[in-house]
Amino acid sequence: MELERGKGREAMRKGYFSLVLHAHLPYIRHEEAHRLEERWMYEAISETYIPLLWEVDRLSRPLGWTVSISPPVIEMLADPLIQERYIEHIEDTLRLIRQELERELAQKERDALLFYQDRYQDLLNTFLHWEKDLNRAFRHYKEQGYLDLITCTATHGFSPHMLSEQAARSEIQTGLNCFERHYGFRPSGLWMPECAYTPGLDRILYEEGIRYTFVDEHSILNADPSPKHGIGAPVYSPHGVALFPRDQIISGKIWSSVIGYPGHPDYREFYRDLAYDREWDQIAEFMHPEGLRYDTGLKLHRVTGETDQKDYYVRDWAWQRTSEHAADFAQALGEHLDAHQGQDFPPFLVTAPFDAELFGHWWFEGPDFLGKAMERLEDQGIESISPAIFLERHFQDIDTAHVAMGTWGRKGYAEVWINERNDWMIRHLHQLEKRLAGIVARNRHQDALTVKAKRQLIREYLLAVSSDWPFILDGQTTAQYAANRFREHILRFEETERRLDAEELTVEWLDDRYREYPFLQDSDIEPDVFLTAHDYYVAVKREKSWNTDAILLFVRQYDASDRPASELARRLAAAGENVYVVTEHLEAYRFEEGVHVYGVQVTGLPLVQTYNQLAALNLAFLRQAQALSKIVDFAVIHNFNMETASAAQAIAKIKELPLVSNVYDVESERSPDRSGGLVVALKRLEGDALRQSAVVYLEREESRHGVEQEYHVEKKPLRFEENLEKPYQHVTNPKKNG
Amino acid sequence: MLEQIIKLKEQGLTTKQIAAQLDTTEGKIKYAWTKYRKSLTEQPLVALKVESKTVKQTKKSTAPVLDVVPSVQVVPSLERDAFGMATHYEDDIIHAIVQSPTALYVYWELSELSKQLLETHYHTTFDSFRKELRIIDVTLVEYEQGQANRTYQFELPEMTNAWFVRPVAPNTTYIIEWGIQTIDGDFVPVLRSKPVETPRDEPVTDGRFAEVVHHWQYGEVEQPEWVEVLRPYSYFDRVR
Repeated sequence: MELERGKGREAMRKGYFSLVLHAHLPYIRHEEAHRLEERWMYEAISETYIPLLWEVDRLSRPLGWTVSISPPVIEMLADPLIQERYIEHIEDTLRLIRQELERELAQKERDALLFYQDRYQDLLNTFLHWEKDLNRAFRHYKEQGYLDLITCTATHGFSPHMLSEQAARSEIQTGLNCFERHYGFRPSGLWMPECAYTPGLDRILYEEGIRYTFVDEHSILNADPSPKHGIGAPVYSPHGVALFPRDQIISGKIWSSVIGYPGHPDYREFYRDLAYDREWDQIAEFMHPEGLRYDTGLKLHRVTGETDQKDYYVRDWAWQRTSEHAADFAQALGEHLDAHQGQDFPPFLVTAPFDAELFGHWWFEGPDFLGKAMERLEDQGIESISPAIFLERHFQDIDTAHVAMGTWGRKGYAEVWINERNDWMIRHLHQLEKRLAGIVARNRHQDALTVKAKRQLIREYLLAVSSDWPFILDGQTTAQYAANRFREHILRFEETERRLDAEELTVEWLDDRYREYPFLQDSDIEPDVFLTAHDYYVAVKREKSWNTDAILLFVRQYDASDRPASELARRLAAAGENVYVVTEHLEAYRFEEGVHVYGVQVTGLPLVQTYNQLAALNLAFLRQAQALSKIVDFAVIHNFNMETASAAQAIAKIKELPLVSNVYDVESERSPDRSGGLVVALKRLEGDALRQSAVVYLEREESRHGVEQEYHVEKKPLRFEENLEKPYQHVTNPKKNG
Repeated sequence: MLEQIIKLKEQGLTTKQIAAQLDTTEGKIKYAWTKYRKSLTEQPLVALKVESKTVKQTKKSTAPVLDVVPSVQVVPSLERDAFGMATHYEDDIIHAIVQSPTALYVYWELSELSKQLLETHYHTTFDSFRKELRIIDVTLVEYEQGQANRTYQFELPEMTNAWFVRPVAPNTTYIIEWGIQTIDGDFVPVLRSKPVETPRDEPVTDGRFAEVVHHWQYGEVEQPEWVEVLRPYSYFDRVR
């Protein structure tokens, strides 16, 4: 029953519908011609992007659609090389069609080819109309108010699996910068790759100016506290980002090939391409120069049914069918809204986010369906609204809840992006994050070359972190390409880093690197996005003279009055030495009479055995020493307790530092009557440490016997009190001498 | 002609463009190119040349520039696989990520320094340790203070550097430790992960977040009282 448009508007239904289309491909632009993956872009342009634009143009009115265009797609659409090759691709296809039409064909096959001939000519015309850059088209329709535009993170990285806040921020910020450069504004919404959300991501989004994003249905249904409108409204995350849930019932009608529209027998069959219906000689000219057969895009058959015998595609039938399905969809949506008309503040909202490429590429008639569906929605009095407008109207009616990690992937979490096929990738990405933080912290030069190098390093990281690579490995199609691309960017990162460290970088070399993957302009990338305020302080503000020729003292009890450690430390500091004490203490750091005192503690579950408790203590000392070693260059390690001898020895050995040991007493004095396993172990440890020491100082003459006779220390132990003034004069530095 | 074809290919020309430029047919170009590519793959595999990281001296003695921090840490040369990728990183890290409400993925790296410490302390070789993972439920408790709801641990096969931990419970905070099981019955943790939280897999009736969300929403706390995995990573974390 058709309603007149005017009448339809009077009979507006309560509730809203929001369509969100996310256009994304990995960055697959290669300077070298004939890369198979580049065809993904041509197919997306021919089957999805332009057909969608046709519908927007045909309807020429505000549609309430939100289109997310990912930065790789934006950059590839704007790329002159891709543009030229796309035209060549279209011309080749038209030539193939002409060649085919010269053959003897069944009428229906000929009709299908004629349909493609018109269509490819139209594609070419549209492409040229927008001066080969479809960003212009999207921007135009956005400026007309027909649709809303947002974008995605820089390379579609899977945020919940990133190691650091900086990594997530670099993806978000760089994506927004890229979008703004092409489209002239910063959107308030952002498509998070894979609809992946994790608590805390919202904080970064909010700080980067993002007020809404999308999650899957279960993320909201399982939110805590349970939102009172279920998926009928967005919820605010704790940091204030509105999360719009995908309505799976409505979405399923469209995407599911089983229960949804695309599987109808009249629609075009995706898996049957002309390339596989011809002898090689007939199509060789249009295939890959290395003899590979690939899709021509000319798919002349229809779904037909559950059979391998496919009939020819009849464009009119398919076209009619989209009208029917559009009406059915509007009807179903209307009923769905009516079923929830009891909901107020805000009225029921159906959010329907999709991969844009579903429409056209996968479901060939999808764009026609969408255009017609919008008309039928008007007939049904259903208001199509963008999330941005919804928030303007209803921002005060939205619950706040804790939303757990979730995605729209298989089973709703992260099984696609971390499994036995792709788990080898994640550690490399995390290492890159850690190294980027280190590189920006250490290289505070603001010269053009260093800044450019930082940007190139971030670019390589971003290209590596794309969720497409683990996604493809999960699916096992074109897995080799994905794995190679991933490894390539990791190795390019390492090479750039190595050259930066070795001062072998030149602007020309960096420019060459950029030309190989000209993704993002330098101005899109904030070179210090991986820098924390703390690292800036340590690198720039902290006293630099503290970093050289330092002495590392391991003292379990720094304040013990019967031992000379604190007195020595102060004496050395007063003499101008850099003295770092690591001790067992609650207070993490104090700067006391010129001495840097770092306190460490063993935390976690208690250990039962003394010797194991000592292992944990040594690990705690080691971790602090490792952290300090990132910036402080130690000349000597001086150990005051046998309890910390393992860490002291390990550092001395691996870092090639001289070890100085102070002995107050030895285990045989401490436990004269015991000979259990613990005593044996301590004696062994003590003996090893003393024999490895460059200098052994005795605090009490009474322990000399034990050191010399029981531990067979070859170097003669010295009296500490006699060497207070110059305790390290007898030390030879293996590092410096070596 | 092959040389010219290769050169033009490198410049990104299509076979059609190359044919036009060399005034020949596309078929000939394709033939020559295919033959050339085939000849490349038939050559014996040459080991990938990987430039090893050169050990660099610290810059302190020669760095008058004030905005450069001496790079004390030397990037070590790492073992590489056939693709040139590091097979191991000289780092001490264990990190857990969510695969699903009932599965976590954990990977770790252990430095030479840590191995040396363990070997020194226990006077044995690294290979001879019994390595284990300990899975600790720390939901709403302070693990630093020694509190834990429950733990379980299991032995790891030699040469592993990652594990899918299954099953774990949904809506639970975990810390994972990599450590050694000593003969006298202790588990000595060597690496400890940051907390990670498994997602809920069903709607809540009486959840644990309403109150903490309220605290945060109304500014009653400085930091949210739930796990957020994307925290800033500071390179100079424990340097003051």
